[in-house]
Amino acid sequence: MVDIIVGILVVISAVIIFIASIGIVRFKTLYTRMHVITKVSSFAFVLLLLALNILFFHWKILILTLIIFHVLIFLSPISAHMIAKVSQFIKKDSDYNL
Amino acid sequence: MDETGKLFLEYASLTALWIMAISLIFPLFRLFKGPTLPDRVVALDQIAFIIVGIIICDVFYTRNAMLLDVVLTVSLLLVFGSMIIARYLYKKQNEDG
Amino acid sequence: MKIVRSIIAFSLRLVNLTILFVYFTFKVINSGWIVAWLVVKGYRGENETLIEYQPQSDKSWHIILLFNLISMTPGSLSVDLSEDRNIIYVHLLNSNDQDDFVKTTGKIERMLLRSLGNSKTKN
Repeated sequence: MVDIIVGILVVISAVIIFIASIGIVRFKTLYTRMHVITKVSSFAFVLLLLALNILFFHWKILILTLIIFHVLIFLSPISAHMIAKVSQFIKKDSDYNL
Repeated sequence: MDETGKLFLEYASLTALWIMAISLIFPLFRLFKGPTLPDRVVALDQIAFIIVGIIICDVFYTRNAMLLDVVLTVSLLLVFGSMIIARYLYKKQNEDG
Repeated sequence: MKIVRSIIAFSLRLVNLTILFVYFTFKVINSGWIVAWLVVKGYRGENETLIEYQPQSDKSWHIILLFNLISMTPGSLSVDLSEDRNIIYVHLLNSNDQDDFVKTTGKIERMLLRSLGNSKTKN
C-alpha cells in the first residue's frame, strides 16, 4: 500500500516538472520565467521529498530532507533576486553583449 | 499485495525518469535561443533542477538512500553557482561603466 | 521566577515558529499549483507590472524573511530592495490583483511580527 502511494506521488511530481519546463519556453519575459523557476519546481521538490519520507521511515532521512528543503526553498529566491538585479543593468545599455 | 506494490513502484519510477528526460529538451532550447545572458542562466537553473529530480528517481528505483548526499551537494552547487555567475556579471558591468 | 518566565516565552516563540514553517510549506504547495495551472491554460505573461511595497518593520531579519515569503505568494516575485531598506519592488504576474496582494501581504507580515516580535537583538 505504501509503495503505491509513493509511486503515484513520483509520477505526479514528474508531470509537474514537465509543465515547468514547458513554461520556460512559452513565457515571454525574464521575470515571468523566474516565477516558474521559484514556484513550480519547488512544489515538485516538496512532493518528491515527502515521498522519500513516506518510503524510508527513518530519522536520518528526515534530517537530510529537511536540510535539502531549506536549501532549495530559502536560498533560491535570493539567487533569483541577484539575477534580476543584474538583468536591470544589462537591459539599460542594449549593446552590451558577452 | 507486497509483490505488486514493489513492481508498481519500479515501473512508476521508470516512467518518471522518462518524463524528466524528455522535459530536458525545453530548457536546452531556451539555452540556445535566449536573447540575453540572464535568460541562459535561468535555463541552466532549470536543467540543474531536473538533474536533481533524476537522481531522486534513481533513489526510488534502487531503494538505496546513499545517493541523497549527492542530492544535497548538487542542490548546494545549483544555488551558489547561479549566485556566483550573477556576482561576476555585476562586477564586470561595474568595471566597464 | 525570571528563568521560568523566559523559558515560557522561548517555548511560545518556538510554537509560533513551527506554525510559520507549516504555513510556509502550505504556501509553497498552493502557489506552485496555481502557477502550474496558469501554464496549462496557456497564459503567456501579457499583463505584468512592477509595483512597490513598504514593509512595516525595520529589522533586517524581518525584512529578509518577508522578502522570501513574498516570493512564495502566488503571482508575486520580489525583485529588489531600495538603498534605505524602505521599499521592496515586487513583480506581479497579473496586474488585476494588486489590492488582493496588498491585503495578503499585510496578513503575512502581522503573523511574522507576532512570531518574531519582541526579540531584543538589534539589526
